[in-house]
Amino acid sequence: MMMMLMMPPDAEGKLKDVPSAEGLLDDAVKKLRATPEKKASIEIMVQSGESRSCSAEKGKIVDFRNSNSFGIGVRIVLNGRVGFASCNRAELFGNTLEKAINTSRIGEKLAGLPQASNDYPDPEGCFDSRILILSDARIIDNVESMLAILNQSGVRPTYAGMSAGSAFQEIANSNGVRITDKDTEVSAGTYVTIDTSVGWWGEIEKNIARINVEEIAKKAASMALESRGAEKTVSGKMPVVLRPHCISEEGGSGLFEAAFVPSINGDRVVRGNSRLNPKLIGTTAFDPTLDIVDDGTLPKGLGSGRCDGEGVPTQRTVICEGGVLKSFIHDHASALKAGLAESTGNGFRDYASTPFPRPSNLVFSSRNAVPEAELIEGISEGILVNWLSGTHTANDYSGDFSVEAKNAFLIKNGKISEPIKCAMISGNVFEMLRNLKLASDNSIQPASIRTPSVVAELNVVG
Amino acid sequence: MVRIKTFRDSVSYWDVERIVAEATRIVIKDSEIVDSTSSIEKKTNIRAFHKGSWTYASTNRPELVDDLLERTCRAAISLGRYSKFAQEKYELASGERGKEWKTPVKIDPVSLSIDEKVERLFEIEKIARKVDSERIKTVANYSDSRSDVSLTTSEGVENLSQTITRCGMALTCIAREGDKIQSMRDIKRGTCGYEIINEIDENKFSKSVAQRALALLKAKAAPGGKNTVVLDPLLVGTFIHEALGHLCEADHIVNNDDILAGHEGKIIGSELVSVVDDKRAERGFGSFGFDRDGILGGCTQLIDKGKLVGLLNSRTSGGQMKQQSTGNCRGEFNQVRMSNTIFLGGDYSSVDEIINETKKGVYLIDSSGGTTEPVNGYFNFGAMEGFLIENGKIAQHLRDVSILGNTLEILKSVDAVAKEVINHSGICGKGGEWVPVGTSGPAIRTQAMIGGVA
Repeated sequence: MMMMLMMPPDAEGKLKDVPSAEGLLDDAVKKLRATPEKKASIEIMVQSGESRSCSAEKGKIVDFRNSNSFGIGVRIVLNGRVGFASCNRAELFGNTLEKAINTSRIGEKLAGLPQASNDYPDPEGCFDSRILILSDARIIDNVESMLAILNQSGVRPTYAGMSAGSAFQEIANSNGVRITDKDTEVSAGTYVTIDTSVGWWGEIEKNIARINVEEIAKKAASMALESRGAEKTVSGKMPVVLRPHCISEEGGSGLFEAAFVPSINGDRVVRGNSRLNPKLIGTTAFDPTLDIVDDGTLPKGLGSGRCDGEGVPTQRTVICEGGVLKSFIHDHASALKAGLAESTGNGFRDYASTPFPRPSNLVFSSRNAVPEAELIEGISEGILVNWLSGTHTANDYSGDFSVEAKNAFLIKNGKISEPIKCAMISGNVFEMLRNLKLASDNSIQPASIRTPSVVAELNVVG
Repeated sequence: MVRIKTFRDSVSYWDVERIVAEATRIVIKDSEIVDSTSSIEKKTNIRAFHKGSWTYASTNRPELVDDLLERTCRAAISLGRYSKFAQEKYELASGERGKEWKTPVKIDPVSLSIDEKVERLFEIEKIARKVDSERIKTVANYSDSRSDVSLTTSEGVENLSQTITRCGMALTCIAREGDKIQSMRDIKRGTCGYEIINEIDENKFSKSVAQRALALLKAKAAPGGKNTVVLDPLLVGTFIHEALGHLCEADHIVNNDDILAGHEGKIIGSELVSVVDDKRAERGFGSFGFDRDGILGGCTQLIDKGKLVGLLNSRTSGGQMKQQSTGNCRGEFNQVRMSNTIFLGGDYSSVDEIINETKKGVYLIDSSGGTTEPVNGYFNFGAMEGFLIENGKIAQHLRDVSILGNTLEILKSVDAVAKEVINHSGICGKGGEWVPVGTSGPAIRTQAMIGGVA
């Protein structure tokens, strides 16, 4: 039927006529040679991307969209200070280079840029060329499949949508870093209601074969149907089963993303602004059954890739092993400040911003993992929570939180019973991780964290 | 020459929005610059509408725009024909056509050197550190942006332009004592020029943020349960944004996924509650001249003395609701969004007068954000800090307080509203898009559920 895609990328996912990072670097080096600023280190990042999506509201297809863009980030270290500027048009590059030089006069102190590496991993399952040639009609068909299932289920499809896209990234710096990376992503989700009950399910994958839109629709529908007619409220300190979407959620809005991840960020740690500090390394800071690994090489991981945003190879960094704190996550600058030999490859960014330590795929697992049904069987009175709302109000320094439980159910004598009308749950993530005795054996990765369902003693008010 | 009929001649409507945006960002941590970034971006957003189906495209390549507009128009026609789930036909609503607009600016931030901005940010940040150089750490953020927007439509609007300038800063103080760590922040920002930064009295502003962070180290967790709450003006803005504003966005009502559906003209709050959405509020962070549809930004009354009198509409939602557009189409393509939501002032002379006559309750200060669920009216939001109120007096200091409420109950329970309205701002996310909004109000008193220790 229709063809909207304007600039189909090549088989590598690269858009036509986008300037190469290496070419721009050569330009910049030449320009600087003619000035007194000869001894600069320069880094160029070029990103391009394309995406298409289709949305339905109230059971009707309402729009289809297509976007393509590229951008250039210029980072320069001059006289030991960083300057940065960005633009999204090739003809603005000269002006952007000047701006980067100008801001370096007052910029952050930094002893150079990352060194070249010969050893880049190539994580499996990060690029699916089928997404590049997916037709617009197929995207629409998938949304229609969700609508058909939702209509059969008797719920009201408030929203259903699917999007597919690709991204291409090149980094070149004057230390000899030359690295390209490519990525595809497909996501589908639906938000449904029945009476005043709500259900939502969404998934993001790098491979189209792993997205099953019918399953997504069924999960959202059953979530709404099971929560229907919620009348119960409950209060007190009790065991709470938090499912993975409570821990990690789109946009980094999961509880651990909001309240725990900032404390393992190398930048916060070196500034003394984290509850965790380098002295705790080697000590038992968490429950002895807990393992946490940041793994940028994880096959099919949403945050996997060959390198971070400053050309450093991604790696597997153990954060916590059997409860013992092992490491933090670093970018080039925070690693230098921490006195480490090199970055952990966590300096993620887009072309318009400077690197900052961020997790790639943070994998939580328990040495006491049991099937989720067994977790629930062990609880005589507690609640099961599918989502949390308001996690952005959690205290990212102290780890204290007080958030709203969504699609929550009572657990009575080891069984899931009635849905709960409304409840606030509160606690502290560090306390949770010090006492995280139990977790389920099925993990999923809704956003930056791969996690099982976990059980914690929390305050519930309803 | 014979003109070939183009797809753009065949669709019900199309438009092309061109944006040139320049921005600067500076971050200082512990008296050290850690980020100084400047950016320039050019972007074109294209929309086409045909019989109920919308298609959108965006690119940063002007040479592709003409061809892309044709493709977008063709796709709008074929989308409706292709899908058996296609939207039924409707006409776009009308509204007052926008006029050329420029943010009133005394000092254009783009005209200043980055050195000057950095120096000013250091002045503000250093005073906070001096309060207690042992225990206080700081993060100071500055940002400004100027967007030149130009809109051309199939209905004869040609290069209608507006310049939106935004400027502001935020100061976060992190207080640390042993294992305890707390933070506090304050923000000054708006749709205005650099004058907002010059006007900051750093001796008051910075000291207060640092002192509040230190005091929070001794604060206790909140007692949970149903309570009388006094909300300070900075929190009332977020409260009314979450508890009412989102529910008045008519796209939810079109979908019948909104508890306010069918409540138009009915009493939904106490008679002390009056609320407007003002697109031209002076310095409002959500201010603009015309919306994405090119409709003039005016002031829309939402609640008048407790009665729901208006909704927020775009040309799309208005078309489906058979109402006029109120000029609330924002975001990249087409969403109904608030601009500056203002809870209007009442009779009480001050928040102190409200607290004095409150026997037992909780006083909550400044917002750390919130969310809402239009289908059932439940919303939650967090306060930066709070205090117990005992016999009309401020007592125990509280940290990490959040509130859960239901719109149809909480607005009816408002029983005290102070006179003075104070402007505040936020960044609001909906459907994956983020827009700046103004959130303003006076101090109020109502009933809500507080999360905490049961």
